[in-house]
Amino acid sequence: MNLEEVVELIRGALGDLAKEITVRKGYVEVVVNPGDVVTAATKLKELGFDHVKSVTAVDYPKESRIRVTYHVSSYLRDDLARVIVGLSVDLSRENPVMDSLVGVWRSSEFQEREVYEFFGVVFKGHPDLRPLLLIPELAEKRVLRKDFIVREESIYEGVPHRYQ
Amino acid sequence: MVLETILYLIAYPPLWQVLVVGFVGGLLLAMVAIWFERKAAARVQRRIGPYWASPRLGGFMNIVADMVRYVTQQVIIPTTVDKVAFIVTPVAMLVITILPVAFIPLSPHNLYWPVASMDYSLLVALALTTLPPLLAVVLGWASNNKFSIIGSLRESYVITAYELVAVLAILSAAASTLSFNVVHIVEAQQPLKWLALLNPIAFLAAFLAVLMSTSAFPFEIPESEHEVVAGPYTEYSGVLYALNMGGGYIRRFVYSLLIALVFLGGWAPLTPGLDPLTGLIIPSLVVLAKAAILMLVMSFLRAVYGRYRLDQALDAAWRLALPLALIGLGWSIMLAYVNLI
Amino acid sequence: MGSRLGGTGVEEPVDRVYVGNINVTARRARELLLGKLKLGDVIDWATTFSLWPVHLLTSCCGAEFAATWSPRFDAEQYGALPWVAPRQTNLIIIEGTVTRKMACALRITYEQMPHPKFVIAMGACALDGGLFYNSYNIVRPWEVVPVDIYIPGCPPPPEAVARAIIELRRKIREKKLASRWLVEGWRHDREPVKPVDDVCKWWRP
Repeated sequence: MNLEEVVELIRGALGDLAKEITVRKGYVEVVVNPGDVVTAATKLKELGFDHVKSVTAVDYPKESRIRVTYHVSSYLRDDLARVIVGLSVDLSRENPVMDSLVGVWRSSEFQEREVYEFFGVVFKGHPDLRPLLLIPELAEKRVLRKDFIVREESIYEGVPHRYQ
Repeated sequence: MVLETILYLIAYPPLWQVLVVGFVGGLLLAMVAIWFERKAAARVQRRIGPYWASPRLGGFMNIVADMVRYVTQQVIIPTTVDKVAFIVTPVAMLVITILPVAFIPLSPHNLYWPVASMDYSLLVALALTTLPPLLAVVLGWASNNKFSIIGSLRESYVITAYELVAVLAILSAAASTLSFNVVHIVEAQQPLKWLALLNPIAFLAAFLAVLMSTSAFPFEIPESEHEVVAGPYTEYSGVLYALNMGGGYIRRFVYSLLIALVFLGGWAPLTPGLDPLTGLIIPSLVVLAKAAILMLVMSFLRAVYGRYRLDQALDAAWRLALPLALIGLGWSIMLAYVNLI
Repeated sequence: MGSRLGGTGVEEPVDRVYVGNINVTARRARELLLGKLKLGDVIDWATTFSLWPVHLLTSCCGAEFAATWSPRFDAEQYGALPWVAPRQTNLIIIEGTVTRKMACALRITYEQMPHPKFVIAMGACALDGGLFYNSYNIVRPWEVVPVDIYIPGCPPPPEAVARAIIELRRKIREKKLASRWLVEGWRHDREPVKPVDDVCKWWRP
């Protein structure tokens, strides 16, 4: 099954849910509305995409939106395993809330926690929404958003007083 | 005159048996075994191993350095442990580990060690060797740590499986020589009728079971370091850990002594005389040498084998080692029936 | 435990021997054995030949650490044996970057080790951040534990790690770190490091 047939398969399964479908080499990006994401994910899973490879987010400060993308693929079907499908949602930057997909793909649990701590995206229905890699004070700063300023010169920032 | 007095003083039976052979010999052999383990593992991996501590001795002083370091290090007693059990158990374990040496005669003469004429010395020695693993379970329980408890649980599984095999395999010697007396067993196999040659299956089963029940390397399951940090010994530091570690090796030494007497003919190439030199000291040194060879073979196995999983080891115990021990028992009964020994 | 690490913290008159006071008796025995009988040299020698590092792998320097004990370089010649549990070791090698969450693990591992204990910081990240010098998630190891030897490099070659162990041995022999710990109960050559802020605050409920 080549790429066009996979795209047709996805388009047929999702129907009106897909706002736009972009096709690049071996990669299909599907953008859906935030309200439809669980339905779309369930349909993709029924199609044979059985695991999440990564969950990531991109911050667009000028357009005031955050795009969360689930990269899903298949282990069990060889023809689908050659394609990576990105299931994307556009959220508002001020109040980024979306439904969690842990109920659909269990493998997205830790990665949703990462997106939560780095971008501040809140996943409704996540079983255990805590920071994963950062300490809680840092997670409140949402460090991977573009308005977080990384200091260029900070070599002597942490020197205790007795060495100064 | 002076020489004779010194000789009689050294050969004073309780001193020689328990202090010289049991404690000093056991400690020295344990150190040699640890050194050989590290050196053999290094040679197998094409390394040099411990060297610069004493280049002429091949790095043997490194083990002494480790011992001194452990003895002088801080002893941490965590607040969550059962203090009395935590401190007393390693010491009690070392003492109980050495106890069977008292029931293993190293000379055929009643004069030098009264146990030589005791009729059930093999049984008592075997019964005493099964005590220390119970204390390993106490060790894990007293530490009050999840790794310790998991480690001691594994230890108890392994004991249940392999003590039976060890006892059965060593007792098969009694079946073929019709006696529980170690001296009779040794003298029955005197002109090169060693039980290891006549009954290799029981010898193999005993060797396997000793390897396993002293958690030597291919079966080092209770202390496997990737899964449970250091097994029952996780919380121990300083002297107490050194006692634990030495206790394990001395336990293996006691088993090796038993196997050397029961299967390898004891003081076989020579017939003991009556004076202390040829009657006590040289025969016991021969037995010690045989036990040392056994221990070094066990140490070498560490370098060349991987570690078994717990379920594989238990499987091997019940499906392989126990039938082996039973076949060995039947074989030795047959040996007694055809009057071969 | 007293004011300093392991000390008794009780000032006793030295000129009289109390038969029943175990602290004074123990201190006098210590001073006799180590001061007059030169047992201290033996202890220092033993410590230099049994520096067992605990394996605290925090980033890519761990590969070089492994290569140091592998057949080609073989640091076991000097008596150093990598060990798994902190309770039985006396050396900790910080292998690279220490993040804020790892700082807690580092401090816990350090405090679980028995005295006398030594710290080697390995790699540019452990010196001053290295590649991540301006990261928001990095802690310098010297804010968390007292470091004895630094190894520069990104990552340091195995020879450098072996060299650091030899330098640490020289330091122990020259400054008598192990035996003087036994007498005084604390490291005389450096102050104990208290972390600037509580590194395990996120972890405690």
